[in-house]
Amino acid sequence: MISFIVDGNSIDSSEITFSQFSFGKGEGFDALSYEIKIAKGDFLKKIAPIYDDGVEELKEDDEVTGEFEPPYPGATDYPSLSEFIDIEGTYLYEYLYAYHKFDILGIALDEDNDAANYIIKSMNSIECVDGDIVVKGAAIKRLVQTES
Amino acid sequence: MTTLNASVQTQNGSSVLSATGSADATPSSSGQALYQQAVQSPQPEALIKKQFAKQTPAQRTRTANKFVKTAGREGINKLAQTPNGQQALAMVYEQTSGESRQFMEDVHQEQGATAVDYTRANYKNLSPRATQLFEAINGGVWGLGTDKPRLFQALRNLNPAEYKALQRVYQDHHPGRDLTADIKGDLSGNDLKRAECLMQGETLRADAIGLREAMRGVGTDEQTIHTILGGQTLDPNQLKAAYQQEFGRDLETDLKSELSGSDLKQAEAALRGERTAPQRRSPSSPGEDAKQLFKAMDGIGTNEAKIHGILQGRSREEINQIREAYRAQTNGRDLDADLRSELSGRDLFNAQMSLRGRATTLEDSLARMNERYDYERGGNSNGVGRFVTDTFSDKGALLDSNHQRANDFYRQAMSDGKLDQGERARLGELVGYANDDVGSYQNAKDSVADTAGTVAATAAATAVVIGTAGTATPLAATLLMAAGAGATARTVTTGAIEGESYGIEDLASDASIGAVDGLATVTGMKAGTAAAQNVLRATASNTLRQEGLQVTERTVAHMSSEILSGSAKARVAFGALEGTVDGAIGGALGEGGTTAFSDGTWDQGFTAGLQRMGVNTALGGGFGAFGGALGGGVFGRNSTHLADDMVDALPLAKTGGRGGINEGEFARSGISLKQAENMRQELLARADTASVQDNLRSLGVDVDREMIETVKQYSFDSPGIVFDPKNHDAWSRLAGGQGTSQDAAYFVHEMAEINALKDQGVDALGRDFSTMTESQQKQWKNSFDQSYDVAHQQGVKAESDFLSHGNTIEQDLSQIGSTKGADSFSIDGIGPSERWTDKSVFYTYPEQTTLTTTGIAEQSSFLSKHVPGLTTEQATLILDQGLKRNSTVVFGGSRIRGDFGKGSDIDVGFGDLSEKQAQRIIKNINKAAAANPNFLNMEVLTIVPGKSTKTIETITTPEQFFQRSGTRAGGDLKAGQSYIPSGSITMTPDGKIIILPPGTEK
Repeated sequence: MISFIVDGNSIDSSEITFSQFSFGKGEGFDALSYEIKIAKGDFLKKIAPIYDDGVEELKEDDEVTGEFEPPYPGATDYPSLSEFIDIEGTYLYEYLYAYHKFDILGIALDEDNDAANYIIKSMNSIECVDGDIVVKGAAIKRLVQTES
Repeated sequence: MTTLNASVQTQNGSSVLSATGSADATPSSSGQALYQQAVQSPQPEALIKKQFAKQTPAQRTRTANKFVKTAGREGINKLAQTPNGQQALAMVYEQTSGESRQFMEDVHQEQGATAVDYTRANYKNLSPRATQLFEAINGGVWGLGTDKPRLFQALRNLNPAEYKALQRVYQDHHPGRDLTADIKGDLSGNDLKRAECLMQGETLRADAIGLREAMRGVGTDEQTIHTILGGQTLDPNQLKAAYQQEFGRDLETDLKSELSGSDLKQAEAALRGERTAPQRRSPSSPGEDAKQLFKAMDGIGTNEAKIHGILQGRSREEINQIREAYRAQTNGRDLDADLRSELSGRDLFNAQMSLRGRATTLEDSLARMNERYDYERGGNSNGVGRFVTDTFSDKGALLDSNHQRANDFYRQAMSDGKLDQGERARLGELVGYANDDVGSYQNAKDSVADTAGTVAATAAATAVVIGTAGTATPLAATLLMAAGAGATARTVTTGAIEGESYGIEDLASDASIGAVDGLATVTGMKAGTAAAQNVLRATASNTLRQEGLQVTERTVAHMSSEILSGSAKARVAFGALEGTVDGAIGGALGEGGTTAFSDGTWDQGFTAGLQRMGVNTALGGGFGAFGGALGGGVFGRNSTHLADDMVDALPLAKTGGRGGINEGEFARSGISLKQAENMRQELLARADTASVQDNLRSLGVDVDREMIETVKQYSFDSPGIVFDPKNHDAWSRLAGGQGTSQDAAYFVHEMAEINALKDQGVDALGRDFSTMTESQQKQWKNSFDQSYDVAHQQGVKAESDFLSHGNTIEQDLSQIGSTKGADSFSIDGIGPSERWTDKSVFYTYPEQTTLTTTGIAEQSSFLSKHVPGLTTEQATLILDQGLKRNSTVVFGGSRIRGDFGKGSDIDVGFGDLSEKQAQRIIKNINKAAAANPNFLNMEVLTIVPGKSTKTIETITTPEQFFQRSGTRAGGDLKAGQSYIPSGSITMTPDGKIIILPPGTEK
């Protein structure tokens, strides 16, 4: 089960989209808050395989550079996603934001949907709240395109 | 939900494509399959190279690790049995990581005496040892005897595996030679036993044998004793025990019986373990270095060794810090300018090389190797030195061979556009060989020059004495003339052989030495009193000449064994002296000296000439002596005419005369001047620019016909430079479609020279020369001469760049900052203003351009200058992240096009990374940006090969991505608006900067 709230109002998934090309942009536009809530079970089911693949790739990169970047202080290896969720702090968010933000948005949203009214601008937090994964950030209301 | 599921699949598919999709292309078993194919192939290295070429760095690492795991000890040892297998192992080793890498190193160690150094871990130490051994075995420049101390020093402290590797390097560096066979061929008895101990890693036993040998028989070799005891790194008690065991004698007792005084004290101190600590450069600061440099240049004389000691091996950053400190301490003086004013010749060249900072890329090392080669051996100014040195030594041939090998290997390896790790390792070896050979060649050239200079000075003075004998010339005048002749003969002889490497300091030093030689000859200090008296009694020319030859022979006989230590050297000396007497007499009388040997001329003309012309005559004698020395030394007796020809051809003897025909070069080829002139006219009459253009294109030089015609006129019909047979031959090969890369390099050189002259306002062709007045011609020649050296350096550099970068003509970083005329650029009728703004890098570089740098520091500096808002610090951070993963780093977007806004981020792509690797870099850079207000945010879209989204077609390369145009769509905030190409700047791991303006393809 996935739910969407923009500016305090529940909306349908088809009303909001994201674009990798313009993610993080939109200075000068009015930013509205958004919230995406995904059941933890669904989230793990969808993201865990992608997360595991990502870890493998990062391990390969560690071999190339000869360096290990711990995903959280004191880590000696990459945790499983379910382990990671239990680590306190913002480390899971930082990790997922760096490597899987578009994967997470892709679980919930149709990327580059021409018909959507809102466009995701940022992803400011990923938290586990009461058995749900809650993603919050800012969205921009799309301007109506007029043909000249 | 259907849409949601579809979307999930799309996203999953996208992610899988870059993660496990790559793995499909390179399955985890590919390393296993690669090993199984490689071990059965006669060319395993080719298979591995082909496989690695298809893979990203991460994939290569995975393949290599699996390869090693599959091969195991047995497989590695099997591959190590053939040269191709060894190369394959080296390629795999370079890609391995972690346990696999360690395993390969362990297997390498376990192989012991049969080890093959595929890790090449010892290469850097072994190459100089191999060179040292080769020279020691071959008796240095003169090829006489074996330099045993040098040989033993080079063999010390090696384990058997290292000796095995040393054998490989020795054979590789000197094809056809076998180190062990060479050593066994040169040594015998205890010397051979000592060497064999060193080969087996038994250093203590070898030292014991060396010490016993130094104390045996009549006399004691104190130097060997001190060398062994001073170089002993183990406990002295172990050495004493080894000596006792080997010979049943007490070392201390033997030393006491053989040594005394300070020698004994020094040896006893060494046996107590009290050795003088090796001199090391103490840690210094830029301020202290600057202070010492100023001191080294202050006052009378210059301490060149100190200058080199401070500057050599420093990084570019360290050099810049020293420059700044020097400027601060000296009220704004410029270190580079001061060094230029204090140093000259080879000292200046070496200092200028050091001032560039140590090479940070292989390509830079290769380019510097080419520069060193050209400086010591290339060009007309080294012609005499090359010729004379090659007559007595094979060092030049070895250098030529290894220089060519390195360049050929580079070109071949770069045929696929990049160097893999195995190729980089091999190129490093070959460049190392050539650099070692340059050092050997320098020594050979110095030695030949010194000997020829000494005999020329002595004999020139002898000739003056002979000429003044029995005349009324006052003794003071005779002394003065003899000194002048000696000084001139030595400086001109040595200078001609040394070529460009001969500096002002060398000249002053040689003049002093030559003058002393000359005076010593007169006063009998060198020739002997009886010989001098004989000289002074000579009166008639024929008698005089005979007497002169006898004197020279006696002179040689009286020379110390330090100067004349063997037959080959004596041959030079005798020949040189004979020629010198002839040459000096002829020179003193005027070039040609047709009547030099008639009694009448001699009795009247020479005496009168000496009295009339004074020291100037003696100087003429010096020049003649020089030609005679070379001619006699090289060709034996009766060589006066050839020597005269050589004198005529020498740049030093023909000051300012670059026009005309290089007579010496043609004479050497048996071509008369008339024939040479006919050849020149015939070449000029040929309509061959089209064929030359075609051949040049095939060699990677694409120039228009106008430039080809200009180079032709410059080379063969301009008043500035000589008509040279080598240029003639190169041009003829190009015109005949058989040009070599060296011929193309000649063309590149001349083209750069012409352009550099033009930049200095000189018409290289001297088009109006024939219609100029004499005064105007003189003015043009002065102008040309003054500009030529700079232009020639540009030519050498262009040639070197061309050869080292293979088939592309590239600009040098020194051109950064020069603004090209933007109005000359136009693609499809669209002017630059519509493609970029004046803030863009393309405003300076409107055309596709490749620059060569020394590495990341210069690349970062370039970016900070040409990417608005990007600091050097952030550029370095970004580059480091990409380059350490062996990937290109590609900058594009609005900050490259110049139409960026206040908050625009910086778009960076990576040509060889996976999406996750790029995401990691973006994370790290943006984390740094959050903490540093001067940093730009980095675009979060990963611009890597294989990346795609619903609205972004699959990216093939970042450069291609930055050339795209179209209409924005999908969830883009600017959907419906068009976008145009930005162009890009690519930074490569080997130090290149590739600038691709909008509208160009990589």
